[in-house]
Amino acid sequence: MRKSALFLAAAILAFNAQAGGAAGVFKVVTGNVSVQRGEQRLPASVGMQVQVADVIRTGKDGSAGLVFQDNSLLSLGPASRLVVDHFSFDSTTHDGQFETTLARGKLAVVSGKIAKHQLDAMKVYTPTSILGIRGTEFVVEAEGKE
Amino acid sequence: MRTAGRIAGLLIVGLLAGCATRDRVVLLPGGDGKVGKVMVQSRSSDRQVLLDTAYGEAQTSSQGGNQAAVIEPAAVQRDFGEVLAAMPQRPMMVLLNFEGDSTALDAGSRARLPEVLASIASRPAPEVVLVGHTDRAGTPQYNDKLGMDRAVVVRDALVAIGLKPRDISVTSRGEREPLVTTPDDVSEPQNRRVEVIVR
Repeated sequence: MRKSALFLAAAILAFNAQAGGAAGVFKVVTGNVSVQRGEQRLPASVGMQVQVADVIRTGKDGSAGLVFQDNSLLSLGPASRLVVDHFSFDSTTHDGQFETTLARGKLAVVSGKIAKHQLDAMKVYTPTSILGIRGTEFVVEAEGKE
Repeated sequence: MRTAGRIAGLLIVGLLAGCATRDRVVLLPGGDGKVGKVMVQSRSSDRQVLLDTAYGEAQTSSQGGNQAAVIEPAAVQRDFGEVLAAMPQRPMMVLLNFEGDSTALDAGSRARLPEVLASIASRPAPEVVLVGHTDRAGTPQYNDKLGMDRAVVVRDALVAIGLKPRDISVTSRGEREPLVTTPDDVSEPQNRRVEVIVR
């Protein structure tokens, strides 16, 4: 009885972390930056939330900075394209998974609680490589086509 | 015929240039001075490179190459200056302290409050987590509520300067997480606090 109550509490906590909806939030937007969400292409603005499966694009004059729920910081340089493949985070246990693909352009990362809590829970994919993040700060450039 | 050959040649050059796409990763020293680690796995071969030194660089290509080197900090600034300039501010944490058995800030925190609020408001689209704590005077149940009441006082101050309630979360840890360990029923000023985490 007690065990199942505990399990239920844990399940509710995990659900809340998921139900938060947003994986991250734009904190910096310069020049032309957009978010592809399904069929929609939305202009990015400071305070806008980012969800799993969003594709973030910056123009030739654009750059963007985001903070994710686990305190990971990501920024994108000009002419870049980043896909948020997967994000889950339990703010109580710090269990989670964070995967993005830099299809093109430049990305800077300061990893957060997900990478700190568990080896290889954070990954960045590029056209030619898979990066397993064990902390904390790095930059990536992908030549990929437009 | 000759033209066809030339076109074919150009096509091959074009294809090779298109195929040989290259990516690079540079590990940077962390804000706290520590250097992390990034494992770089090639997608087209089983080669792996572990970056674990500051300014260590790995290059990967679609043709399977995977090289590592150490580059100059100036080269990082040259090649990645724009993207690094777009990095959001790091999250910050501030402690506000309270009078005993009360939701009133103590004198020191009351004096610092305007500066703390201004620094939160100056961030773009700030999100705030407030965690209330108490000392061990009083029952655990009472202290759960007192911790929450303290967090709510800080929330109200943030809403008053224009933050949206949906961007502020409040919780209480009651007397569970003292900064200074004490026996039960002991009043300890350092434990009467709200942690203000801002990102």
